[in-house]
Amino acid sequence: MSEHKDKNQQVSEPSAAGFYTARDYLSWQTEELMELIRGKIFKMSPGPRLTHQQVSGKLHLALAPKVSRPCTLLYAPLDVYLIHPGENWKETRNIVQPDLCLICDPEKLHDRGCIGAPDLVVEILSPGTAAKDLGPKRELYLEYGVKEMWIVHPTEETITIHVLENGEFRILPILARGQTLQSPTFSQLRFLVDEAFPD
Amino acid sequence: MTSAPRPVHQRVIGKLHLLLAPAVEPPCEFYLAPLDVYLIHPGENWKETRNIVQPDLCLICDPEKLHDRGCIGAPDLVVEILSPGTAAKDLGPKRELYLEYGVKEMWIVHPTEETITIHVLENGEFRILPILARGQTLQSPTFSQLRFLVDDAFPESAA
Repeated sequence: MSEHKDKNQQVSEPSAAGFYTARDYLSWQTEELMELIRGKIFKMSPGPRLTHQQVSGKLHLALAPKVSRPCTLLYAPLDVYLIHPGENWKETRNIVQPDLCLICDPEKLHDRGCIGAPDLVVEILSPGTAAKDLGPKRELYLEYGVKEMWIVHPTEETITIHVLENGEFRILPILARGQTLQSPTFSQLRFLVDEAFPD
Repeated sequence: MTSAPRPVHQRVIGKLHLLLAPAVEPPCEFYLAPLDVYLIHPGENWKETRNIVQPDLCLICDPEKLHDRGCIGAPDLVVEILSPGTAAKDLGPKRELYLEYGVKEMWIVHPTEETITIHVLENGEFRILPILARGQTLQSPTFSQLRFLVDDAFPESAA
């Protein structure tokens, strides 16, 4: 896989059985996209991405014009190092790549990615990733205080808003074409659901 | 209705039926679409209703509701398997009807991404439980006998 010269003698490549931190993650040379959830590797699933990418693109186009400083909307792949305030990001065992994220604290933006929880994340499900997105990733978003998480089912064309309330995600009625999405937390994020999906 | 559902839709209905039907006993029974459900409030004349739906699956626990024509009155539980063409209807006007007529639980299945979202009637609204995916267990909050591994609702992984 890696044919370059090793700069550090002990650069290792990730294994599925490993238990890692950000330091390990930063040392890997692999080009594969992956996430680190509670220290374990989760590779991005292969397989058809066309609809996924069409939807992520359209959502980006629908949202970006509505976002203004100090908020930034960022498109995957962006490493999000999940830490609680005061923690050392190099020690974290939780590095995720939401499909889209809204970050309203410029202090979190770093060369390497986002250090700390985004304010809002969007995850577009695929059959291979639903379990991860709705299980361990959702738990992480909850634990690290992401204010809103949007779950998009791209084939059936629905969006489900989860809003953080009292340490839990309250789930709003699932939205479909013909309905308007209004973010409860971010009043400027409002659009017709149809805009998120291909014509 | 528009054109016939896609194979994945039908495979999921089939698998859910196989999982759910054995889990209930009389007087409860599961019915597969197409079964006409005439939505009425108690006392109303079913021939006057303007609301007749066909859930993909429904659980009916009151034998009085069973009629030659279908089900007269709201089922106790309905399952809707979304397709791109029907999501807007299922999640919009149909959902409103289920709420209005007192369906106790509504399950929304996204068959491609393989998730199930339980909506449980509480205080006149649907409270939505965390979306379930493979590897998780579905436990109906209203019907304790309805419990299964989400994976069992979906076809064996082909790809």
